[in-house]
Amino acid sequence: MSRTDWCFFWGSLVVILLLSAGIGLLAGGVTLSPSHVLDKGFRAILELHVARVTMGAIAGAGLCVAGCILQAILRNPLAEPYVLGISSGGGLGAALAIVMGLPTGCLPITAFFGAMGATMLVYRLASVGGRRQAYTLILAGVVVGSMLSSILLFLVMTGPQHRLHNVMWWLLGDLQVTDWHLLKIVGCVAMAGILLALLFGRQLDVLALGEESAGHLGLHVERAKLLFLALASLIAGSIVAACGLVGFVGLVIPHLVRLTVGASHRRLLPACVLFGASSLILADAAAQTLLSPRIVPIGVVTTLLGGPFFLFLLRSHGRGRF
Amino acid sequence: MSLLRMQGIRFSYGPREILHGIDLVLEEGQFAGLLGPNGSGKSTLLRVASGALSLTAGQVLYREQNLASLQRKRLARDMAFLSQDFSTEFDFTVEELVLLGRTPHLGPTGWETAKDRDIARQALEDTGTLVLAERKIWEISGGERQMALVAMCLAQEPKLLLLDEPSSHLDVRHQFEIMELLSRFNRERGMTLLLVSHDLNLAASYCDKVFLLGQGHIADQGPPASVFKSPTLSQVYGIPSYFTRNPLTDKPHLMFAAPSKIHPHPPRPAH
Repeated sequence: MSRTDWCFFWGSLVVILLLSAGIGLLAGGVTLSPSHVLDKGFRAILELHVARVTMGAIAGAGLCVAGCILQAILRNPLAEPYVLGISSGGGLGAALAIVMGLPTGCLPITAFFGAMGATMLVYRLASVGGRRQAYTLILAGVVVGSMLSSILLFLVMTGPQHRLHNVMWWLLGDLQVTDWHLLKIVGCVAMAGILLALLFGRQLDVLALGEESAGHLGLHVERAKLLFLALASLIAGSIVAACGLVGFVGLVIPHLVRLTVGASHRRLLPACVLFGASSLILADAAAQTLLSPRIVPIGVVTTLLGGPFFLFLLRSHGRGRF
Repeated sequence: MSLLRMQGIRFSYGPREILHGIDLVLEEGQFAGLLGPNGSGKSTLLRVASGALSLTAGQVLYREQNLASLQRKRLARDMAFLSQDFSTEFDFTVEELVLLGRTPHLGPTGWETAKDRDIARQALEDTGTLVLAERKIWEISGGERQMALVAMCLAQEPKLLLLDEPSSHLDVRHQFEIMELLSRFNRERGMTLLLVSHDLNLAASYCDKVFLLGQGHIADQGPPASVFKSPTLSQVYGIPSYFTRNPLTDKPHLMFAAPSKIHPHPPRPAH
C-alpha cells in the first residue's frame, strides 16, 4: 500500500471507532435532545452508557493486544487469553481480592498475579522435552482454564454474596462497570500495558522468528519473553477484573487484521487496538439490542462468533500461516 | 589476531557428548568451511561458535574476548547466523524480514532510521531480492527465501557470518549464486565466513581453509587441496574417494564410489 493508502486506512479505522462508539451509545438507549441534557436522571444514565462503551473499547483493544503478544511469543496462532486459561487465572485473582475485602485498587494487581500464574503454568505444562507443541499448549490451556474457573465458581458460590458478582457475570462477562473508580484504575493499567506493547512491538517481530534467530539478532530472549508474557497477563488480568471473562476477541480480531496489514507488529498492534475496540463495542451493541429489552451477555456473543472461527483455525492449522 | 578461537570445546546433549574437545582458530578475512559426515557435530559446533549453546567445557573467544561474557546485542552487531531450519508462522514481507536484520543496531524500541532502510535496501539489491521486497516470505520459492534470509544476515552488517548449509535444498544455479555472493562479500568487505556444508566440492571451490570433523573431533584441517588428498577424508566419511581437479576451474574436486563399484584398475590421482 502507498502512503496515501495507509493514511486512508488509519483514518478509516479511527472513523469506524468513533461511529462504533456512537452506535454503542445509541444501543444503550441514549437519545440526545436538548431538553434531556440538563435532566439529572438523564445525566446519570448517560454516564452509565459512556462507562459501558469505554469499557468495551478498553477490553476490545486490550484483549486483542494480549492475544497478539501470546500468539507471537508462543508462536501459536490459536493462543488467546481466554483459550489459554489466562483470563480464568485473572478472574480468580480478582475474586480472591474481593473475597478478602482488599481495596478496589488491588484488583488489577491480584488479577495480574492470577493471570501470570496461569500463563506460566500453561507455558511449563506445554513444554514437553524443550519443544512446545501447538496442540499441547491449547489442551493445557483449556484444562488449566476449566480448573481455575471451577475454583472461581466455588469461591463465588460460597463467598460473601453481597461483594461478589454472580456466576453469570464471571463466566460470560458484562461490560457495564458501575464502579467508576474501578473503571479508571483498570483503564489506566490496561492503557499503560497497551502503550508498552505498542512501544516495543518490534521485539515481537524478532521473537516471532524463533528463539534462536531472535538470539542471533541480539535479543535477550528469556528476558523479553518473560516481560511480554507479564505484559499480556497484566492487560488480560485487569480487564477480567473489571468485566469478567470475554472470550475469543483476542483470537478473531488479530487474525482478521493480519489479513489487511500483514504480520509486522508495528502496524498489527495499533490496528488491533482500533479495530478491536470498535468490534467489541459493536458486539456489545448487538448484545443489547438483538433480544431487546433483554440483554444477552457479551460473552455469549463473542463466543458464538469466535468459537467457530477458532475451530476453523484449528482445522486449517499447519496449512495456514499468519 | 585471530577473529574466533575455540579452545577445548566440549558439548553434550543430555548424557550424549557431541563435541569432544575441539580447538579451532578462525583468522580474520577467512572463508572457511566446516565439513564432515552426518552426526559429526558440525552444525552443533557452528551453534557453539555463535554462542547459542552452553558448553560443558572450553571457551569460545571472539577477538580474544570470551563469548559468554559479551553482551548478546554487542555480539550480534558483529556476528550473524544463517540457520538451516528457519521457520516462522508469521507471513512477513521480504522487506520486513530483511529490515529485522538491523535489530542489533537499533534501540530497544527498534525505530529504524533512513540509514537503516538504505542498508536493508542495499542488502536486497545485493542478493537480487529487491524485486521480491513486497512479497510474503511464504509465497516465494525456497531459493528466493534463502536469498532473502542471506539478505537479512547482510543487513546485520556482520564481521563474521556463520552459515549452516546455506546451499542445501537449492538447485545448482542457486547454490553457485549464494556462494558467489558470499565470496564477493569476503573479498570486497573482508567479511569472515564459516560455513557448514555437505557439498565438499562446492566448499572446495570457494573456501580457503576447511575443517574436517569426524565424530566430534577435528580430524583434519588446512587448504581444501591438502585435506582432500589426505586418506583421512575417506576414513572419516567411510567411502573411497578420488582426488582430481575440476577441469572448468582447476579447483580441488573429489569423486566418490562405493567399494563394490570401483574399477579394478583405478586411475592415478591428479595433482
